[in-house]
Amino acid sequence: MSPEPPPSRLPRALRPRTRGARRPRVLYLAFYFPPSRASGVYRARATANHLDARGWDVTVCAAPLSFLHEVTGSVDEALLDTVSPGVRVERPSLNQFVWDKDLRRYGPFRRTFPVAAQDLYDWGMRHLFPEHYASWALTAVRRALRLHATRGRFDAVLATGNPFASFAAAWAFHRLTGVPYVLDYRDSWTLNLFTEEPAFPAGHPAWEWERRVLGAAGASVFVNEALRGWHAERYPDVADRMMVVPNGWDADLLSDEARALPAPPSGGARRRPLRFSYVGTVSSAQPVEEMVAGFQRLRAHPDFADAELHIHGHLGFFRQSHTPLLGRLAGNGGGGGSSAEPGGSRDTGVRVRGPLSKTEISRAYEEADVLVFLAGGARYVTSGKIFEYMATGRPIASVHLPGIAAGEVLEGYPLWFAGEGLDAESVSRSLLAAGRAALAPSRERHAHALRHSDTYVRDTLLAPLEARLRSLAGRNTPGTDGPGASIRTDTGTPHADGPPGSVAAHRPPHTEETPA
Amino acid sequence: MSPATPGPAHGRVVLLALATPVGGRVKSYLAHLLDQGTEVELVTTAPEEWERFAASPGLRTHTLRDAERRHPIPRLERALVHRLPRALPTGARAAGTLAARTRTRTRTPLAGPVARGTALGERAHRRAAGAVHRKGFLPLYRQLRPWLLARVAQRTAGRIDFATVDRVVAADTVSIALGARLARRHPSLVATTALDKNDKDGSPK
Repeated sequence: MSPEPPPSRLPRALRPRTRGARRPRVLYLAFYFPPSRASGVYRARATANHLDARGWDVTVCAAPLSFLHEVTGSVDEALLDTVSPGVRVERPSLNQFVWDKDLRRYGPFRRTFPVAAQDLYDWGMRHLFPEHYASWALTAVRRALRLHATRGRFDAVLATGNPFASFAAAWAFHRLTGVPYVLDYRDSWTLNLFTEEPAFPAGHPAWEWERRVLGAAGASVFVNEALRGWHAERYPDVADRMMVVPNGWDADLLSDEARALPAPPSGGARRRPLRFSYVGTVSSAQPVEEMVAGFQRLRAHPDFADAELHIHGHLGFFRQSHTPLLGRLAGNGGGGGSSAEPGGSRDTGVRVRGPLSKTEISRAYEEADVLVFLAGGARYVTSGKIFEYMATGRPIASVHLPGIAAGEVLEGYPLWFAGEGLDAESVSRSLLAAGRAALAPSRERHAHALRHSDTYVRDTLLAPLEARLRSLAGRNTPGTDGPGASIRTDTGTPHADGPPGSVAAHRPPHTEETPA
Repeated sequence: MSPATPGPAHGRVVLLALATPVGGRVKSYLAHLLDQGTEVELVTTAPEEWERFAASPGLRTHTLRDAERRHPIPRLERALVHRLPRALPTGARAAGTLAARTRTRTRTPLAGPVARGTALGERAHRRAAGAVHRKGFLPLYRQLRPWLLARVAQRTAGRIDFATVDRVVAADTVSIALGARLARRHPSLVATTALDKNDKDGSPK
């Protein structure tokens, strides 16, 4: 009996699968990925890096650079440098029909029969996929199939939304290849987070698509328990495959100085104005007017008359959002905004500092005495920014509706100051309390705050997601260093295991007296 | 900036607003341009929609309504769907009248039935012509209209001095064909669909 030929001599189709011998391959469908500076990009960046560090061969399908540069205008090249070199980034094309304003770039058909072109586009939105990013999903699937065939099989697919066309792409790829997939609801699709109502009317194709993609998903991931619960209620058949992976903060993006105990404003030779800072994108859904009004009331207090509110980040997600938001920050609601700029006719103390690159974020935190947590919506909103805020150990003043989902993670943070409502009075009270904490910094409270935030280091939070992917891919968790050896089906939050900082019972945040 | 205090002169813009009814956003954009001191050449098919701007010194309005009506496609539709069928009962009525005149006795046997028949025919025609116009002609014409308007606008475009124009703005989908045609004819122009009040160069966002 002759020995069997070595596998390499067998015809390709007859060769045994050697999946166990190579790194598991994951296709990560993340439209917003560095150098994009969209608000959800940090989660995508961290996820790709985490999977790479845990031994995965990661291929990311992301937005084309032309879209980031010309449409969103929100790009941070330095952020791209923070992506692990092992992560391969593909950029499938996107039909920019709705964003393209330059008539010279229109094709002959659209130039000649623009109504027909628009009707055709609208038909696709109604009957194919109800999102402007559908064409990207299609090209992403095509690209993924090519890579799957030529560079080796993918073992799992992870898709993050928005845009939710990535979910459809994961589903289509699964249908064509059988590769299991996981959906990461970084944002909500069918729930409007700000009105807390369904985002689409009954019968809208988005509902059918969501039912379809959730039904075939190996797991679906949400950023907080409230969102998981909302979806579990609507899709009970797949509720057992839903899990919570909160956002976290990225240790590699925050300097040691940003986490150090800040010196009080009066510590030096000359007293400087107390600096309140907001770091992040300001969006139209946020209670900007309430924040500005509350801040003006704070400045009526003699101790805070020269306080400044620094806004670091983009105003809106698209370029045209800038001026209206600037006007709202200036307190006129229009398009002016001169008083929001230093040297304006009436100095409100609001300073619009503009967007920050990765390297500047830490400096903004270093310079801040108090961080202002401005957030729209309530019950379902956990802003990704709040984790980074907590990681600085600085006082945090809340400007949002009470009952916000972010309260889950802020509970136990010793320097959280939130009022009972969103009126100017209540906001100013939170600002005042946080301002007073900044004027009298305590080493113990700062250390306690840092300990609380350590619970939310991103890598720790991503472990259950990585473990789920690994189990779907049919791989064992590697070694003893694997933090995600046990797979939770209900939640991946550290709260479920009761780490320091997770408090089951609601503990009211710190509040102090009203400014004079 | 207040509308009562116009700002400094700010170039010339050709604003193409051929769709009707005109949206409030387009009117607001025109008001903004005029407030900024921009000279605007407005090309429209419905001048009555812009009456409140008529006294604005920086605005010149060009209408394409008559030029559109004169184009062979709508004329052919009017002739085939409306005029020709209407001519048939008119002819029949004329024949009935002639027959009545040739019989000088009291009542003519043809006049009554012809009158009733022609009235019925006219009603049926009106209904059928309306249906053909709405369901047959308009859907097709809606697709062709941007191309048609771009063609008939040539004479209007000749009245605008494009040497001093900075931007062509197509304010709606119908205006895209004309805007694209002007963009090709005048390579130095910025040609955009953006009604962005902060957008100085019209580049895509």
